[in-house]
Amino acid sequence: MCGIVAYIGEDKAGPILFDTLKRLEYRGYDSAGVAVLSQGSVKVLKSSGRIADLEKSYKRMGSPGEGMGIGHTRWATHGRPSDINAHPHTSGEIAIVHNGIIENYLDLRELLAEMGYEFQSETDSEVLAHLIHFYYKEDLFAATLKALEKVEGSYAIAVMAASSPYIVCARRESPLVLGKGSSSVFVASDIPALLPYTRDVIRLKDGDIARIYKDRIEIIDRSGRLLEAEVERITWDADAAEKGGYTHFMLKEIHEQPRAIRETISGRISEIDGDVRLSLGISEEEIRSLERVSIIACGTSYHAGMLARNLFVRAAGLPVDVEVASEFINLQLRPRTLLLGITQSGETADTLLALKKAKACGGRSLAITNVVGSTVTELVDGTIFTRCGPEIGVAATKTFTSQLVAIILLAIRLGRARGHLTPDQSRKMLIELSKLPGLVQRVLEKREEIRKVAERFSAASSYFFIGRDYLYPISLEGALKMKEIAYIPSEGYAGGELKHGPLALITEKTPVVALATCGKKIQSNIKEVRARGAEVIALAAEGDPDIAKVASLVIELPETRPIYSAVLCTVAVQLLAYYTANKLGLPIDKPRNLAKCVTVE
Amino acid sequence: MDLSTLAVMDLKGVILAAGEGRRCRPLTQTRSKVMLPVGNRPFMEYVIRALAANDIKEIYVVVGYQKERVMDYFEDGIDFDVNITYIEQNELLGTAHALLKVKPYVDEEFLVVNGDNLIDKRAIAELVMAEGENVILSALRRHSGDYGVLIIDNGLVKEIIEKPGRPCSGILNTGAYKFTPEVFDALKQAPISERGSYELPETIMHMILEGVEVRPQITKGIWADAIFAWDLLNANNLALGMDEPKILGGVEEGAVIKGPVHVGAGSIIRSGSYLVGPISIGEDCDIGPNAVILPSTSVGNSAKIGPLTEVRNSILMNDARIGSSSIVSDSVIGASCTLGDQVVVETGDCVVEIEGLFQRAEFGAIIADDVSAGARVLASPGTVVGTKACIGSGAAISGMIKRDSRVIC
Repeated sequence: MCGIVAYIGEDKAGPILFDTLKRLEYRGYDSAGVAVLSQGSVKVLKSSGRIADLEKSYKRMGSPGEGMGIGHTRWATHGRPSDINAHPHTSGEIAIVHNGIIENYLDLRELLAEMGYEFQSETDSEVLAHLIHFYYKEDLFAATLKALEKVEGSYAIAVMAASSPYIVCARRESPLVLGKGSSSVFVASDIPALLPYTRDVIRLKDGDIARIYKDRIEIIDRSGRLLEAEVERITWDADAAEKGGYTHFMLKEIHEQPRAIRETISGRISEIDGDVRLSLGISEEEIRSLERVSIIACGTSYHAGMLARNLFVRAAGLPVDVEVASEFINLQLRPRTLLLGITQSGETADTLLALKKAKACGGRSLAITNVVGSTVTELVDGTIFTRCGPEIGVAATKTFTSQLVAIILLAIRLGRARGHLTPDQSRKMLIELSKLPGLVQRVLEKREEIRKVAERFSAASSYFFIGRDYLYPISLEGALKMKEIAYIPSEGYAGGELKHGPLALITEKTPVVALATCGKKIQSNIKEVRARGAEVIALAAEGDPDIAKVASLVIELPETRPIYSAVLCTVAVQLLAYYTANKLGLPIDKPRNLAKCVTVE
Repeated sequence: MDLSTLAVMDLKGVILAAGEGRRCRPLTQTRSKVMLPVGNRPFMEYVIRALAANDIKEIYVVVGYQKERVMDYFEDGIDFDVNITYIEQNELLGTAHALLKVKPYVDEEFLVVNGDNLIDKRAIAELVMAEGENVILSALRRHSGDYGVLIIDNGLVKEIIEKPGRPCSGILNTGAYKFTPEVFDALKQAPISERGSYELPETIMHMILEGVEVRPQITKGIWADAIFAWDLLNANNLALGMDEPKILGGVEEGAVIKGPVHVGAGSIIRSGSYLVGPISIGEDCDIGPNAVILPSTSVGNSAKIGPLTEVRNSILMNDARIGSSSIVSDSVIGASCTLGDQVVVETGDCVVEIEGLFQRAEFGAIIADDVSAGARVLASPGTVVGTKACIGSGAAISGMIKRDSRVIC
């Protein structure tokens, strides 16, 4: 989702533009740019990548500009973001930022090209810049009005010119709001971005066009009448609005998982063919000749990688090494090894560095990431995007389950290409996969039951999570969530490993979460810890007749294949950690000492 | 122009979305009635779109039962070009009690709309423009006596008769109102209703008795309610006429599409299928080959309809799946249901027990979420299946099947 901002007033525009752009950050972006009026000319600064980096280069240039400027963030969902495609777009002394789609841009482009305009980018927005330039004599407002008459489609725009004392804004079917300060005017795509500066807000109506000076705003509607600006006093709190009714982003994002999984699957599976469509940039022949997969990841993504270890062997006959990126030091890659990097942000420094090292050894590489246009996508041959939208909570939730789904999709694709899965086997897996969003919804509906369990054990001084096979990585993930947000020291263990040491730590005061949806073997591990007096919370498949005999508490999850039950168990342990932290009154979205995207080694 | 003197407030909207909608059970076992889909959108989306089209952008939604479903779908309202603030009503004490929760947020004239009705922008516009400070949006309908009926005298509402319980035609209360903040004083004195809760119609009756003028505004716009689950089919038919259909997904060669048919992005209509609109197919659906879908059918996102299956006048919710050679008509199939091959749902007259009362109706089956049915299942007219029930192959089912039950032959 793109965002646009603009400022005109007494203060230096640059820092205000960067600040408001950052407030639109939560909607996600892959490139950004600003244009400011500086000593009689328009200075443009734009690039793909982070706003913070753009701001640094702005400061390096000596923070140019006076009190007028426009800015933009772009979040590409299709196609590659680049410096050139980033906004603002310019034509002569005119600069514009645009949200929306110009439907007749090909016709306009042809027309403008005939008149001698040269196009730098492939965006529809640049057409608008040239068109306004074409009409521009002295009156920027009249020129914009004429240009917009020629345009079909949707837009929210902000336009500035070096020789114009005002900014022009207009909207049709895309959002745009104005904020009125004492001697300044702010423009943004949504209200929360304006709130630090002003609470007096004017919503442009569909088809309105506005001329904005620092001390006044003139709005003209589509029939050409001068309107009175209706100023609305905003009384609500920006933070609460973004959370859409939830108390924390993490809880909101836990609930977004059915949608995120559906989006990640969407358009990629074909049941009738029993195959998965992914653009991996690797030929079928190369896939057939693979002998190994090496996975590089950190934190939660590393746990996703561990799930691939058992899955890739079973589905595609491929042995897997999983490495924590920061420990990927001396590994020699063998030939015919596929390298797979997993990083939510696509910017994790440790993972990027390890990928670069490994690439030097040759071989094909893939990435699983949530951010289109992130650095990792430029390093690898092919990328599988998890389509979660931006994740704000520091503890990864929806991005992790979507990574698991992406790994499952990749496993099926590799299995089919290598002839390890028959079309019918993979068809059955895909039918079950398409039911996964609905099953996750059912786990979410257990929230009250899980909340009660969490609150009962919230005073525990340590937690254990145990699981076997596909559920071992999930037990690590459960322990990580408990550490991250509830600050309770927790251990995740393979069920069979307990007796080789950690059992010594288990007392009647240690709650043990047993992930028991996948096989009976875990029951003997449950008995081991029960014998030491520990309370066991078992996550088990519905209708499991034996589990209640061994565990002290049972949370039933829908029955499905073992690999998919890993996703369901994840959602349950996320809720458990969330409600524990909530009961303890901790800052769930911003746990101490942690950052969302770790760009240092 | 001096902006400081212009402090015009926009009209605010309040949507009541806290109730379950018990008479639509079992479909409301997993979501509130406002989230039941007609024309592939939840009821409440029509309400929000109608408000947004009238420039009512500041919307307060009172949520309670299954509030997460509402919040997950509408989020902060940005996708619908509105700002939504959620207000929780944890104790389900009726619509008057719900409205009182909104008091801190409104200090000028505002609208109140039920979230579980189908309503269009014209009806809302009429309410906005209506004369008078307190207005009830009303509709002229023949109905079965399940609504509140307005008695009008001299252009003012004289009485509201709640649910007369016998078929009648007249001016009925749509549950959409325009109020001034003075209503909050009346709400504080709201009398407790027969249902044991605080309801808006009783409060308004109380206001009228106190001498407050309440005007009716009879709408010419679209307004429909679904009292019982099978009423969704009528609302669905109406809703299908409200949107401009577009073919965004793929249609294979040899598939026939007639009339207004919407096919969402990522969906595929396979060869030999025959679709007659009005139909709305959601995103990422897989239809056919050789499936037949006949008018007034909505198919939710990621649904699958197998080869040689016929679906008519029905609602399939997200992720629902019907196997091969099945026949489903006049039915509602809940989210994530799986019906096997050669499943037949018969349609016809039936009598259904709802909340202890017997209702005469005509439909096929109402199947709640997560139900799975094997092959060759036969459902008699008026079959109602609760959430997550499991029907074995070859079973003949009828009447009411409870939540989580297992039916073996």
